[in-house]
Amino acid sequence: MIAAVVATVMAIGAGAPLALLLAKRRVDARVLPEAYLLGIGVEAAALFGLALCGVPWSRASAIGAVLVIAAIFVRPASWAHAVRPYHGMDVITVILVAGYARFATVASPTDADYIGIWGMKARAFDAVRGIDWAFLAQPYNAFAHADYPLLVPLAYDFQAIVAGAWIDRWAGVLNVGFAVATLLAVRAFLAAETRPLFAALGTLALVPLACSPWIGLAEGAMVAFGTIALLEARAGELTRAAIFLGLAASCKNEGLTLIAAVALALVIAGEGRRIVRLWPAIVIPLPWLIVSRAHGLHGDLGAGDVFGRALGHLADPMPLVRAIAASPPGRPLFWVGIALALAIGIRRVVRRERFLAAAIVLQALAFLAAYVVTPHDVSWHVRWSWERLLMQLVVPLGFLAFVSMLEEPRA
Amino acid sequence: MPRLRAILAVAAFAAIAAGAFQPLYVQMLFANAPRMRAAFEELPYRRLPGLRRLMLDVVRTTPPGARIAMYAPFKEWDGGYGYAFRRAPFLLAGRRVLPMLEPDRDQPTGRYLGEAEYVVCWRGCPPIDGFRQAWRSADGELLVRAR
Repeated sequence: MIAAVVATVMAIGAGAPLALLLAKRRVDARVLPEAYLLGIGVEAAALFGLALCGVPWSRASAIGAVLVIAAIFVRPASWAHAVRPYHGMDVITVILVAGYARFATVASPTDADYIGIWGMKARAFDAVRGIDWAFLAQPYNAFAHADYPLLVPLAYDFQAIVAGAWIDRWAGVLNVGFAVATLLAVRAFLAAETRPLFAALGTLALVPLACSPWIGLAEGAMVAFGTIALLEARAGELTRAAIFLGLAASCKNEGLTLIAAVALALVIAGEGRRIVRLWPAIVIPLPWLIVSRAHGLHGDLGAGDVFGRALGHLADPMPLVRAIAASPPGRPLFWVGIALALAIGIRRVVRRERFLAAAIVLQALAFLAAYVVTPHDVSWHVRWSWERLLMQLVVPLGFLAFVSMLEEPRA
Repeated sequence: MPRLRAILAVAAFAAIAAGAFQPLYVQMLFANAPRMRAAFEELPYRRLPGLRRLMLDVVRTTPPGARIAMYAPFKEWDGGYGYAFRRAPFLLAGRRVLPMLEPDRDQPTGRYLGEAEYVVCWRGCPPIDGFRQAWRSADGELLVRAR
């Protein structure tokens, strides 16, 4: 546990210089969660860089590399504080998150995808103190999705390097960190829109959505990076958004489609000329995309006759429709509430929240597109991923529902 | 009209909060953690009882870097073999796990046996040329390459 706490504090420290730089030296409530998330990205980047340079991972090399990357963003400056007050209701949020933290760390993650993908890669890399390209490239290890980006396994490895041993049940601390960062950021964004009580209530309602039940998988990371990217872009902070988009694309391939969704949503919102400011979103995942292809790693969705599969599924869409109908994401009551909220605030959604609404819809369509080109049995693919994928979008969707119900500010 | 809007907004918020609520996170505050931990330990391997213990025994008795072929008495990848093979590398971290069934064709294969130093078999091993028994337990067997 000590190593998990140390790795968390180190992440905040490693990400703080960049978070402060991006916040334009204004210490608001988003700086802390963003510092943590950026720090996780810095830790993963440090291990990735060391592996590419052929430097074996050790406590000294890993921490040294993190310090070097963090130091690049240090700027001597005075900071303005702009943290809004919290509310008594936030205590209930803290209690619920404590329950989630207990759930996430009660045992080593048991999900088959942790054991067969995320945790397995982390353990394989930890054993050789570097990225085991030979392991990834073996055709019989294809089940481990060798083409998936490595931010999450590398974050486990950083924690293991700090601990000096495999992290076992403390792997779940990363899930908790992602959930807390998501909630702190959402709380800050809601506080900018409404009274502290409503911001606290809105955050409390979103706790179960930010606290991903898929412990050990990259879903929690995707929720955190993706949500903050969307909310920063909504706030007009495109450089901040782009960096979190890049980190989302370093967690899962859905992060790449999220970049496209945000770019298209900017066009729909009439902000198309600002798309160029999303360049960090491309630059951040680019090294992995190049190196992984150079090692011959590729995914299953793009393999074989993609066009033929797409035509086949589009000519007979009923298996896909039936599969989605048979895998409802979450409880109907939640979706009734979302629909009612968006109906109440439809004018605000159309006038002021077009970007966020469009980005969410476009990303959901990208999920569906994956099923159209899937080489797997579509009902199997939908059954094992649809709810998990859609849960990546429910925090920003809940945020959209809440803010759409708020009274529009008078001109 | 503003009053109706407020009522609907409260209803929408309540539906979202109630629909998203996860009682497990409240129950976890009062859960017996050690008992849960014990139950969760075997959970990912429950369809092949003893697999986890067998792999941990292999870790104890093979050196880091060892190349270990994996045998399980299933003829189909999705019918049981893949279940064991997908889980083995996590438990055998630091060792190279080699398949004895072709993933795409459900065909038994010996093409990786040439590089294997050990063969681990869930439950028991068939006769395999060039290997001798290192040990056997209730969960399975480890063969080592005969010198």
